[in-house]
Amino acid sequence: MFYSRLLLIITICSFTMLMSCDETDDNIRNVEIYSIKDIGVLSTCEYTISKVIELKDRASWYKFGDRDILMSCKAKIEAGVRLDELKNEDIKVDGKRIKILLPYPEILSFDMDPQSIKTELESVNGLRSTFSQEEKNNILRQGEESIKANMGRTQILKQAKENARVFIENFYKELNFEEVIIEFKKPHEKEIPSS
Amino acid sequence: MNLKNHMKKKFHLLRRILALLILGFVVWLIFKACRSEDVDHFKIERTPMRVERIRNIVHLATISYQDEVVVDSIEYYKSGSEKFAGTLSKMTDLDDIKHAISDPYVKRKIALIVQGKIEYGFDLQNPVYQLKKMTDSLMQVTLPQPEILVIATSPSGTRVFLENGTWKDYEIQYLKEKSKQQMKRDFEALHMESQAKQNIEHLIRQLIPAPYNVKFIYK
Repeated sequence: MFYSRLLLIITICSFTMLMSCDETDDNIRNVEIYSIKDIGVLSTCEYTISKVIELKDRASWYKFGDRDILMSCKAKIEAGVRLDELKNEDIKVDGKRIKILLPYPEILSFDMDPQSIKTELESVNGLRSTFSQEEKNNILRQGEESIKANMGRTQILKQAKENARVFIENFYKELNFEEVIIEFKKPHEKEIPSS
Repeated sequence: MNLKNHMKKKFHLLRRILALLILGFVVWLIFKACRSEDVDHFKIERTPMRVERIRNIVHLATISYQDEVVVDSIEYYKSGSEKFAGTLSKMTDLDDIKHAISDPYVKRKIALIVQGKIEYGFDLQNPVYQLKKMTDSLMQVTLPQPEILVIATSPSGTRVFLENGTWKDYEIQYLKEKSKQQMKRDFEALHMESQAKQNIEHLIRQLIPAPYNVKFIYK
């Protein structure tokens, strides 16, 4: 009787421990290759966005206590046109008149300065642990995703387009062109680049 | 008879030890559940974002450089008494027990892996930038020297590889700034000035139609 109970307990404990084992990822992922790239991007507009990130981690049946955190951050986003995508056929000259078809503006860079990241408030009670730096980084990642997801609702691309138009017009007027017609290619879906 | 009693006593003792071990295991499980915070399961609240500043810029970047830098910091106990107090404190925290055992002389340490992107090129808002028609077939373009325009890092490109002990936000900020400086040094060691100039010359020649020839001056 004793040995059967002992066996049952050992089985339950082993099962619990095995459940906590992580699955291994057997997939070989493609590695990113970091290299120097020749580019030709004209950035014409920079937005500085500030955001307050709020997280409430409430108690559950196996977690005693609550955790709340409030962080603030700022991000600098640049938008402009990729002049390296221009082809010869995109520029048409007709005497003193020039017509140029520019690529549609897009978000070119996203920078979240570490100096602008602040923990405004942190509240931990019960048996909960304080927020580690890894957790704070994960929270900031969600804040970054939120900013990127909502950038389309700002006027950044429209402003970048207008500024690019002004720059290119002035450029060709310096070359003594009397009429400068600037058109933009159709926008297509572009993700905000990760830094 | 004596042997039988002896065996019975041993058996009871074994049962009590086993019961204590199981109880300890259950307590450990409860603490682990409370202390291990599954970061992927909690979501931030929906809060607004504010456009704080809008700046018109004219940056022509001709080189892009991606880098990944490891930055770390380690602090050792300064005295025996500090080591004793620190180890005792770690032994009472189930997450830190392993650090107290494996690194008994280390008070705390952290290692971050930071990915970043540098854009290198020309600031055309610099008053040096000038387009000048010299003759009917020759344009002179005066450009500033190339410079680093952006060193972009973000939380999505940052990973905490190792964390032992408590680290303040300003200390992490310092490490992230250090990583940016390291990326800058790595890039400057490549001496990409002439490549950046070649790229902008190619770009401008593409924009300037025939019959113009173009002469470039850098100030």
